[in-house]
Amino acid sequence: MLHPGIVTLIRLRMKGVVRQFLHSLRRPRHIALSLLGLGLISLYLVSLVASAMGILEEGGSHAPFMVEYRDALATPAILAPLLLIFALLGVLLTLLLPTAPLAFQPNEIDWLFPAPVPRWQVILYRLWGVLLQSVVISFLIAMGMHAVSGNVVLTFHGLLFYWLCANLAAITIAQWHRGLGNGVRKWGSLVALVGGTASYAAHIGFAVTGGPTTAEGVLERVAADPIIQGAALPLRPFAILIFAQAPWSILAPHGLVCLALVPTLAVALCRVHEKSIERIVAESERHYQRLERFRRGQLFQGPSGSAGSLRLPRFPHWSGFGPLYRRQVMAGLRQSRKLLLVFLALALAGGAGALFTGGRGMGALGVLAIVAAVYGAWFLPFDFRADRSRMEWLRAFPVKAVTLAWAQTAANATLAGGPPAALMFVGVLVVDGLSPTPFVAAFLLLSFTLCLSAVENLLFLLFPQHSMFNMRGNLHAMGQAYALFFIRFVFYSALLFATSLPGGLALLVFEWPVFISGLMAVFSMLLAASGFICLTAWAFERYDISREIDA
Amino acid sequence: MEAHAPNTPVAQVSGFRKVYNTTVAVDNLDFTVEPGAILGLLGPNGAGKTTLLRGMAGIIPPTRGWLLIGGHDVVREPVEAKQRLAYVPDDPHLFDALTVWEHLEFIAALYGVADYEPKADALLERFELTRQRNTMAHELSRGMRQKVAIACAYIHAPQLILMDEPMTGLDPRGIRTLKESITEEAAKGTAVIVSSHLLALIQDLCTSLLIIHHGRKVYMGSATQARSLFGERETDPSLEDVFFRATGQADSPFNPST
Repeated sequence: MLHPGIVTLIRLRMKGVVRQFLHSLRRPRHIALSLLGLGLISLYLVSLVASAMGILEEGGSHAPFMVEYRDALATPAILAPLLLIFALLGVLLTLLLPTAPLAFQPNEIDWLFPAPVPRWQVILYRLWGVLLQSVVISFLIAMGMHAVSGNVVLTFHGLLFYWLCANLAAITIAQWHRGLGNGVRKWGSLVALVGGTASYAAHIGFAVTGGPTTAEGVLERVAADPIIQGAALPLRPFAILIFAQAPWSILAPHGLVCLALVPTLAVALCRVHEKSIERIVAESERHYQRLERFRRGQLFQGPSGSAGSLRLPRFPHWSGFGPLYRRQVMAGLRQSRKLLLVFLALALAGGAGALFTGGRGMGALGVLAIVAAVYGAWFLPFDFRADRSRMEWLRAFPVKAVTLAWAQTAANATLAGGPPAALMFVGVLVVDGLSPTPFVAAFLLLSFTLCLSAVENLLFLLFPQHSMFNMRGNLHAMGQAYALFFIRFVFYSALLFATSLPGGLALLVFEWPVFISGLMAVFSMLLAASGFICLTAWAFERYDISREIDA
Repeated sequence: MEAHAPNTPVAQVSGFRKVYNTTVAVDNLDFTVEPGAILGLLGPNGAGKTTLLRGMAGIIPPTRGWLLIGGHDVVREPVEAKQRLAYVPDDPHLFDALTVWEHLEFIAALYGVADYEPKADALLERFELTRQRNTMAHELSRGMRQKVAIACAYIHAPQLILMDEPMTGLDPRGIRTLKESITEEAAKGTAVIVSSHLLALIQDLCTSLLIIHHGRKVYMGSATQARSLFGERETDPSLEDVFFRATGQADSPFNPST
């Protein structure tokens, strides 16, 4: 029986989510966006349920392989080892993630930890979220699995119990592991777990690849292998329940076994929790700080970076552009250094690949560079998006809005477009040798990233959006995210078309040299970027600093 | 709730030591707090004040030692000990989606306060939160959130209130209200431990002082006694003088408890 205080908290928080939703419907724009969010979710759920009920099936829309081997695939002997592999991977992932396996929010630490409530009740409260998540995921998978499973309701229950147990086991093992300190026991147990998982996966791999190659043969070997089946034995009841046919009596024996595992694991978790409470509090606080940065849109910004370790030389003032640009680039280099290094390593690897293949992979390399630039401009927030909480400060600077917008956008474009431009440069250099073309290709990508960064900043300043982490009960934020995604797609497509038109015409119609056509494309991009940056400056001036963005 | 026996310490801390990895945050701390006492907890940043308060509140376990609240060990009998205390953190994190009133409702349910509405109303009135009664926590200013946390601490009439920098964000009127409320609670027999850097406020409010530095007790006793111990040749040293002299001598030979 849960403590009345915790029951009250759950009730009030659910009420709060509903209230937040109703609050979000105060403006016509919010209503429209909420309807969009609701509509898209409903469409997805309806199609899923309709598919499960066979309404949309006419003549069978499933893959032929699934239909042909449905009976052979839909057996506990095949599923149980898969469930074991997933559970082991879940444990490993939970162990390796820097976040606490059972993270508490600071308000929960402030109010529930000093409260006269047994700690196991506080843990149960925290697991409430795991239960809800398990119900939703099990429902979605059960609907999707209807083609191979027997009874959607039994499949749902089997998946629910499995999901809960896998989660609880992962959390318990991760908590236990964190309580071991930093000694030999900690690393030894990690090596043992990774080794065990790898050995089991390798054994399945050998069993599958050796012998006859027919699908029936492979499935039969997996079902008959004593090691594979022996290790997966504890997960067999879940697999039986997931594939159970009509007789509901099957829910009793196997369902009870699965159900009994849930409280057993929960008790184990509570026991382990006491020994690692201090780490949990510390990790929960770090987790919260990360969430706060996510809320502010600072996805890749560390808590402090390694301040002072990396300094750029002073830039010329240029009406304020220099110091502002330097500040953002330095922040980006300090706080996303690992990410940028990965990008740069990819660029070098891509260049090496281009060299190795004699330039045959240039098309793929070009696409990779463009995709990297798009994602970089989208996700790296070293511009107005990172300065969300510092808008007042920026406004107070004796710098023109347009200079500020140039500095912010150019800094992000340098960080997001630099590594892909390097990739492009190396690739073209390998193919064309030392000529102006590699430089033009790199500049083209940089100016393209500048355009994208300007568009991202403009969208951000016009429609300051809620982060994904603040969307509970906030359908209009979800609708806004969908709408912005659509607007972004249209903008990017139009931008690419308009800016590549002059260069494309020059190259394809007038057959001018690549170098000249490339330069024309660079100028078109820069022209478009200038326009967007002017609009960004205008949007910055009309940005309402007093608005409660995260409200 | 059972009444506390007079003259029995509300809080007993003995041999409390807290180590984070290799850092000793609090080392071998001993002190008691009597009912009705207002203990000012002083120390420079990183002295171990918050660790001490969090340990007493049962948020973090001690590495060694005992923390008794109303005679109950906060580690071995956490529910009994915590039923007798209230904790106001330095930066209270409220539940974003809950209103001010719902926070009081939640705390009342948590501590089993049956007829909480009149008291909650009075607390809202006292801390000028009546207009914010139905405001969600994320719409409140820093000072308002602090007031909500303080009101929540009073609702279940605890025997011991732990306040970590409770004045942060409060306006002068809010500070005055808080001071008055602490004095009133103390008059009813509630012990209060207040950690603050506002020395003038500590001087006005507290009946005794605990000065810690590098996790160790430097002084425990009355403010008057502290002045005479740390005042050197001055006739009427301020608490600020006392603080600097005390924390400049961590192994002070003046510590009356040693």
